[in-house]
Amino acid sequence: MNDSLFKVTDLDLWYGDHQALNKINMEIQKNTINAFIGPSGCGKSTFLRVLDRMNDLIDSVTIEGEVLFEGKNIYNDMDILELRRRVGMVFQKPNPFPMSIFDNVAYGPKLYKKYKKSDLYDKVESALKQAALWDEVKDRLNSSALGLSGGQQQRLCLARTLAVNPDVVLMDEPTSALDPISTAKIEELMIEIKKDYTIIIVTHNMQQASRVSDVTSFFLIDDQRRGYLVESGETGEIFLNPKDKRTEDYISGKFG
Amino acid sequence: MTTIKNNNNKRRVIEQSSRAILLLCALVSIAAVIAITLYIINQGIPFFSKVSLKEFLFSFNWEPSAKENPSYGIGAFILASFEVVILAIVIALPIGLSTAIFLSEFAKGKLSVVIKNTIELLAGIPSIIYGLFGIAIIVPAVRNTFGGNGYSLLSASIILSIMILPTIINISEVSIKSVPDSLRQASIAMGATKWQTIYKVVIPSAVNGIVASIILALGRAIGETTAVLLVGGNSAVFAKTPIDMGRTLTMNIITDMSYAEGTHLSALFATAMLLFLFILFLNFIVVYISSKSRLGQSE
Amino acid sequence: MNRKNTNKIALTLIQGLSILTILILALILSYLVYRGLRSNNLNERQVIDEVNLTLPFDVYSNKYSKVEELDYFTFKKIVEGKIYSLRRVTSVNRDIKLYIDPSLIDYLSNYFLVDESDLLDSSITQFDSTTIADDKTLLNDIKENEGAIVITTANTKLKGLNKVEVSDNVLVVNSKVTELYGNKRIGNLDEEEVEKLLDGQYKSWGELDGPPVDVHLVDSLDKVESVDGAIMVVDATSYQRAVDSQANIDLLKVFHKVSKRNLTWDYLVSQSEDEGKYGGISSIIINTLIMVLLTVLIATPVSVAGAIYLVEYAKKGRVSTIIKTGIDLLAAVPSIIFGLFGLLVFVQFFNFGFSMISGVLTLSLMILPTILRTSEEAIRSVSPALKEASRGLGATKIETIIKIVIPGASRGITTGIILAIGRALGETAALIFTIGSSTSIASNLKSSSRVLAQHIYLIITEGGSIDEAFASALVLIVLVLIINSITKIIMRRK
Ligand SMILES: Nc1ncnc2c1ncn2[C@@H]1O[C@H](COP(=O)(O)OP(=O)(O)OP(=O)(O)O)[C@@H](O)[C@H]1O
Ligand SMILES: [Mg+2]
Repeated sequence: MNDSLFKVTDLDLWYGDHQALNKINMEIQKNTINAFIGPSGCGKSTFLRVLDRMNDLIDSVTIEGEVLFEGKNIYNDMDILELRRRVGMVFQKPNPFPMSIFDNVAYGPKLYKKYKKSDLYDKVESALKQAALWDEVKDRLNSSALGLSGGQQQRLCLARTLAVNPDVVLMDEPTSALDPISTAKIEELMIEIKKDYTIIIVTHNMQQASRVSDVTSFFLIDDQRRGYLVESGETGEIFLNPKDKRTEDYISGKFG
Repeated sequence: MTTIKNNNNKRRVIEQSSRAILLLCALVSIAAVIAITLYIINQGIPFFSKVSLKEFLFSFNWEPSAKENPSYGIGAFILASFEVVILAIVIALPIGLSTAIFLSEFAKGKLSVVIKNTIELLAGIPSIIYGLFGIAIIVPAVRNTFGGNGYSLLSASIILSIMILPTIINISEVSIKSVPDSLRQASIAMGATKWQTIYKVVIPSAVNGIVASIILALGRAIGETTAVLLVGGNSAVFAKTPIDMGRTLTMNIITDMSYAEGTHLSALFATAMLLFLFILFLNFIVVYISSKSRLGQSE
Repeated sequence: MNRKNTNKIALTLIQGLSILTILILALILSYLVYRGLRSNNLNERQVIDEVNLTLPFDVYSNKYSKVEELDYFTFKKIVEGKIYSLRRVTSVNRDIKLYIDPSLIDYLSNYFLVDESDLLDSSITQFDSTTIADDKTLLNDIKENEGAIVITTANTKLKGLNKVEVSDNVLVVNSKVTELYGNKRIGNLDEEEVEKLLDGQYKSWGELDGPPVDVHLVDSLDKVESVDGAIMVVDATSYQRAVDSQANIDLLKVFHKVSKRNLTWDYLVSQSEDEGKYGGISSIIINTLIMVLLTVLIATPVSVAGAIYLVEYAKKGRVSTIIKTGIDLLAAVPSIIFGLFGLLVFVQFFNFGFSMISGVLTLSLMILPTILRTSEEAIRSVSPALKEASRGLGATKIETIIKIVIPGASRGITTGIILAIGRALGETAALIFTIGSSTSIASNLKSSSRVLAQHIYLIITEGGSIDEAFASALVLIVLVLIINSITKIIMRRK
């Protein structure tokens, strides 16, 4: 398993003159599920958003360091639109567009290419199937997405992301707004789609991290350093015998 | 894959050019203001090479079409304009302020809904209709109550006072509403009556917004043309009392515009320049007040 | 406790003054509706309001002409050819065309005291009353000729025409009655006063602002001439004959209260004529709609684009402050100044002349801040999560704006547009110097055209009929109210 997809070297990030990430080094392998854990405000979301350059939307952000995607620097050598197509994102709160279910999923593909009606339908169908939502919505594709339950909405957002054929799916606390049953469904899904995608998930739920992820990275913020990576390794290792005392304390619930 | 690449390039071009187009559209307002200012000044300035500023502002003699020694004094119109708008504020303020207080301090339920709709409708009625209403109701009423022929600065003030009610009410209401409840409760807790709380605590705290509302209303009133034209009498002679017929700055512009030429025409643009200056001045006062009190200019 | 009373009084006053705003609006609206629908005018008439049913002739008029009654003196002038257009009768702009049954000529010439030869004038069409009901060509001719006035023998029934009632009784008095007395002179009487007078309820003319002469009801014209203060009702022909022979008598004029429908369907749908003095306002309404439509079409894209730039692109700082100041100032510019600017720039500099396009461009600038401010608020309230989701899928900023932001803000934008329509509908001062005044439908952008609000203004300032001003005003206010309700409905659906 030495198939590095992302390679991050000495990444610093500032919001204005407030530093949020400090010298992050990390590699992410293909077809793995990676969990980011750490206390609130330590920069997990910020780091996640670096990977598809969503931080570019915020004017005050400055970034130093290098982020390689398949060996290409995402800030210099890659088309940002292409990067965002290949690196999708599912957000904490389900945020379906106020359109029909069909249009939500078709939104992404239509940005890139003109499709024939039937091709588009196939795309939407396969994305909804991957997100295990097809059976529940196939009879009401034209009704508003806002009428779905929270869990369904989040799976719709996943389908919407998958519809543009990304390589990576970033998920920022995707289940924190959901009930346990919906959460279980999403977790199942992640494991299912792992064979086709690389998944990076931010979570506050330790069980979730240990249940689904292959690799876990622990972020921390303290008085000396802002937003740094404490350690990163196979999930079993990290949870059973962490190398770092701070990781152990965090996992066992001593702080955070 | 290549089609996607090409497509992305096209999308990027659209992205870049749309930004420029949007910026252009956003600049239309300021460009229009600048153009308006320049054009009016350009037409008005030559006038002062023929007539002195002093004569223009302080002379009460407006005889622009006289064959010999035409005179271009708009002193009477400046005074009439101020007389009319100040009188209008004096009439409108008690009603407007009361309504704003009522809406923010008491009103719940049907009555407040009705009053709010009323204000919206009052704001939506075109000036020409106010003018027509003025001719038919206000002018005869003034004639029967105060004598004269009814077409008078007073009639103009009454019509204007109705027209500026929405401005006064809306902006005062916002600022009265934004007075924190804790102040009211503190006052009530010390045994003050509701009324004492209103005029000792609420109104003083909201005074900036109320003043802003008055100034904006002044601006609206001084620029109003059609309604005052129809009821004001439009006599170029100085109106000694509000019951007399009079002419305001806007009336002067609209009356002579259709036939004026030469110096007379530029005198009208000079009048417009003065009017515009007043309005800019009033606006800067409002900006100053609202920047001081962080009360948005929510018109 | 005194404090409590002050409190009570103050609060009552506050409530009272608030309710006053409702009363003011109610007064304005109800008065507009009342005057728009009915006109109550005091018309000065030479005859008293009594229809003569014993005449040996009937009079009919074309329906369009609106002639439903004629007094003797007007009728006489029509027959003599001194009034040749209906303008002076019902303000319908049509030339009069007379149709007379020749068997009546003898009677008519005695009745109106005109020469028979005048009545045989070649412009007068002759016909036979007994056969007219079957004469389709003639009847069609009459129905098509909007200025037709037909005099038939009595009891001829004609369908599809107005039956015209003729009043020919006048009040004649001894000339003493109308003499100047002190600085007073007897004025016109109203119908009630006439009734009382003929009923003997006034003893002296002094009671009617006349001289202190006793009222005498007499029964012959000779007596009217000879008895001070005499009065009698007499047929107009006799009066006219007496006047023609220099009799020393006078006619008392009477105020006739005419209450009729003001705004009619006809007024709405017919073309206006003679620069808006006559006819209806259909073309003016259409011009108004064209003007509003074009204005909105021009102003909306610019304002919405400006709002988008302000919310989505402009960084807090100089540019954004400049833009916002521009909007605030533009909103504060009075319409008369917009009018002057439009005159200088669009009418003169671009040489569009007084035209639809000059007016529309001027108004577009004027309503720009209204749409921009409302749109700005709506765009600001579109959820950032949706924008992020779209960007995350690889949509560019402008794609996100077009597909997510604008649809999300569409209700607010629509509200802004409708508010702006309301402003544009009622605008006068900015249009007087820009859009022109022609009452025909604007056939192209450069044609001079008149819109509703400005039409009302022109009626009043050019001394037209105040009733017509109110009829047009009612139409305008109804449009404004409709616009207002639409805004309400849209905002409520939120
Ligand atoms: N848009 C922003 N502008 C300025 N500072 C920001 C912004 N977003 C985040 N920050 C700051 O950056 C730091 C990291 O934030 P981030 O949201 O990445 O933390 P997180 O680990 O995701 O926290 P949580 O677990 O609460 O989501 C915090 O101190 C936060 O206040
Ligand atoms: Mg986070």
